[in-house]
Amino acid sequence: MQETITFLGEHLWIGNLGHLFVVLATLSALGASIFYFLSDKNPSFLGISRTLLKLHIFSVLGIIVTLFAIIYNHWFEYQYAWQHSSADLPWYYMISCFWEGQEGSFLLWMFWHCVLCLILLRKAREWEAPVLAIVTLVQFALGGMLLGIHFHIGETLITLGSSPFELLRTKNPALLQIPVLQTMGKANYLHAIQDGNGLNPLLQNYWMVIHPPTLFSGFACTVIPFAYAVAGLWKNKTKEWITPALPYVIITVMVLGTGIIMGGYWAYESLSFGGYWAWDPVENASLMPWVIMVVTLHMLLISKARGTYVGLSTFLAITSFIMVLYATFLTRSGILGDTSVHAFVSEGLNGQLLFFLFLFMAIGYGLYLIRTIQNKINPGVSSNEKISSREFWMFIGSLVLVLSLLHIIGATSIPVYNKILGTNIAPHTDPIAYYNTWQTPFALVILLIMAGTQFLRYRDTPSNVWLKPIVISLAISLVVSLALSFAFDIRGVLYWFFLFATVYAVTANVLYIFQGLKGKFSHAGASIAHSGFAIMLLGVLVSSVNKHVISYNNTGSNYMREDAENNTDKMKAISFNRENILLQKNEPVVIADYTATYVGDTFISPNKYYRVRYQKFDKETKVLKDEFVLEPSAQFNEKMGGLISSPDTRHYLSRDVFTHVNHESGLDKEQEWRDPLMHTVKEGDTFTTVDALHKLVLLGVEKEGSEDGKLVAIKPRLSLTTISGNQIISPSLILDLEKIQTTGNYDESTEIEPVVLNEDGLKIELTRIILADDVKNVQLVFKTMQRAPKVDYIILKAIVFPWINLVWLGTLVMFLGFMIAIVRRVKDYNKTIA
Amino acid sequence: MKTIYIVIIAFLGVGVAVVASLYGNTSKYITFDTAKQLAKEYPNKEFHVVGSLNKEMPMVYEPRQDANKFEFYVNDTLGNVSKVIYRNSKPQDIEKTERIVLIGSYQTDHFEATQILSKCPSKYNDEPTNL
Repeated sequence: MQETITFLGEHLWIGNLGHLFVVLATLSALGASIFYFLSDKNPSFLGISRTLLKLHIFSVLGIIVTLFAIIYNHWFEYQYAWQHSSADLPWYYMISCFWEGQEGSFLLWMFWHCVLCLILLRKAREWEAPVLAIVTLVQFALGGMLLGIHFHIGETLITLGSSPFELLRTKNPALLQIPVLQTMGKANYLHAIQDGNGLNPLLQNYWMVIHPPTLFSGFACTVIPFAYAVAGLWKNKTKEWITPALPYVIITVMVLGTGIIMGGYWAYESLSFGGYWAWDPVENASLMPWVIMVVTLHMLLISKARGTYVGLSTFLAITSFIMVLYATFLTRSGILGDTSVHAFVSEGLNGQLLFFLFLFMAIGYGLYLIRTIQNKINPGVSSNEKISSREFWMFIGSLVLVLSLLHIIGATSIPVYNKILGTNIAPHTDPIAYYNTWQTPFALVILLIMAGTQFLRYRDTPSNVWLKPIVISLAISLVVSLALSFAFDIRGVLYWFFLFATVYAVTANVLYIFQGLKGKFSHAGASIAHSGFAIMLLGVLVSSVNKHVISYNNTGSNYMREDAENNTDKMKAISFNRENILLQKNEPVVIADYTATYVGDTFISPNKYYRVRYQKFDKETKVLKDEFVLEPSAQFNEKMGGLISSPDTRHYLSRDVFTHVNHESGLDKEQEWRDPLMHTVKEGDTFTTVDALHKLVLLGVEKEGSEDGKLVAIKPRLSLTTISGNQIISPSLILDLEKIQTTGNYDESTEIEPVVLNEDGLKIELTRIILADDVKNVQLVFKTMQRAPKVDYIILKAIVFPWINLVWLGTLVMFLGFMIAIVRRVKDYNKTIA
Repeated sequence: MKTIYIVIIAFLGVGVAVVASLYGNTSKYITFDTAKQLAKEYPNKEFHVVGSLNKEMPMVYEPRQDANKFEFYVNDTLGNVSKVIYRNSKPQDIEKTERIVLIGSYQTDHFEATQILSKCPSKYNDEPTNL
């Protein structure tokens, strides 16, 4: 039975408009794809293909504007706006709403594809039809994820996509059953919705306004090498696609790499886990396409220079896009739910996601297989390289990257095996240590190969060319890394080798710029990017090996496992969990080299900022050497379950002091009042509390009447003396004279206004008055209660990260190297068409 | 030059070793009873226990006495209840969790957790019934 209700106050037109744009975008993408496909044989279809593509781009922008308008106007009748925004959200965080929900993030992905389509329209020339036929097919698939159409085939319900324009009441029919609406009427349900669910506070950070779109633009870029590779196979131009696709491959590596590291920087600056990389499945999922893309780039360079490995390059270019689809499936399907903090909950689109994953696998790998069978491409690696050739070592380096990737994929996909095989395997208990152990040797080998390979020439290199510069760089690196190992305090053989390898990679690449390239910076993109990568890894090494918690707590009750008195490993494990320290307001506590004091807090909605002053004194002279204030913040968020804390960091050139608050006194349960004591006193009398720490004297009593004469307030003046000083307090009693006369019930007609002194742990009430003929003989009855004094405090954790700036410096250098390489490859391509 | 084949075979060997050792390095999701037994056999190993927060028993975190001790109770997937001690500050979203994964080992009378992974349902899909 369906009841028809006309709901009031809804803005249905805008949702209909949004739906229209979604349908239009999806269909125009399909149309453009078909006509681009046909125009390959019949160029007269090019015009209509372009028109359809432009219509598609217009529709995608239309969807975005419509959705933004809904969020901006707080039209919470729409599920997406209700779920991801709230009325108090500033406009710049409304942009972040797009990537909190999965529909919005598909939209963002489509948006970047549109931008790339505009570039391809101008630049692709003879590749326009085949490449855009594939890109628009991908757009059709993505558009389908937003359709939100439900229909039945026989008995089974088919769901196509999840629309961002779905109404809250259709998504959650339970909404209309809430008790309030029984009286208000269901038609008025919008009045019951005061505010949206709000944006996840972790996303309310400026890094989260720029990191997701950067990352998504990197993901989006992978479609171009895929499209070129497939187009090359389709048109039987198996080598020709490489030169035009190369700049896009470098752009992808650059943008995706920057996006990933920005994510790390965001995590470091605003999450309290204390680091920039945690080997979280979602982080790993973003790393997979990047590594594949780096491998693709190197194989493409060999193919371009030598004409070998063309088949492999094509295979890799296809695979990197498939990896993006796989990563999307992993994060969207809810399959990672138990292992990752930021995976999305399944929206029931797994079937559709898998269908598109398999569709594009079929197109890419299918064509690849056909061309292999036809002998048009050689899929193997059976070329004969000399060990002294550049391509040999580029190949080996790429192979190591692939092995490292296999390990990451293998370990991250454990939940997938569990799903498919029905097993019950748990991921490693300490993922950071586990992945680091495996990935350190891989990185070490890659660094060594990265250092020397550029001195080699393609085909063959006489030993007099490479021997000298490699020996020189090894010698320099040996001296420098020995010095650095003392400066950075790096111990242990493996760490030392790693340090040496990073230094060697930087030295050799810098030397190559001057010796091999004769200082020609326009060709130094690779050397600079490699140096940057090595500097970054150096920063990773130093900041993680010597990262140390300084808020080490020795005050808690001692704990030792019964069976572990002599087991140092176990004690280490236990000490790991003693990293938080309690700071009482205005009470300095020594943590490591600093004296830390919690000096106060400020509330700027929705965050509370705790001011923690750090001071460093000279050990001998006690002179203040350094002083700074950090303001870690926290947000009380009932919906998210309590306190969401954000760190604050003091940056020095050589180290960072990182601080966050895990708990504060305001979160504690109020203690019960104890030791009640009644005192019946006259003016001038003195009385004390049970523990005799508070002395009270009744100085006098004042009476205040309300204007209408119905209410009377009795306000005594009490002098309170404690060890901390003297003050006047006034616990009052308000009498409703009219009510006393009509009901005769004294207790119901009075209101007690107690005085609560939290820092003294004292509560005092005036409970009643005993009247007398003479004012001097009026007696007041006070009740005193006590509990432990309440002191403001915070629970703080502080970590020192040495030389973390090297990580960010390396990233910047790498970025610069990519920029130089892109410029060079674009020039290369322009030369071929000129 | 056939070096490349040798190298490929060598690397494939490494690849197989990586994948094979992956399984040696992982554990299974277990229950408190199993954790109790395994603690005797492998006193140095940590395990994953899956369960849900027991809301009838108290959660104790008294930072003024010890900022690094949080005690609570968990029902494992078989419904067995155990005391859990986590020597760290109280995780802030713990009250809201539906499912909880504990990493640690069983001690004489309680489970000593070194890590808590909690799945908070409210993050992405809470129901609008509590307006």
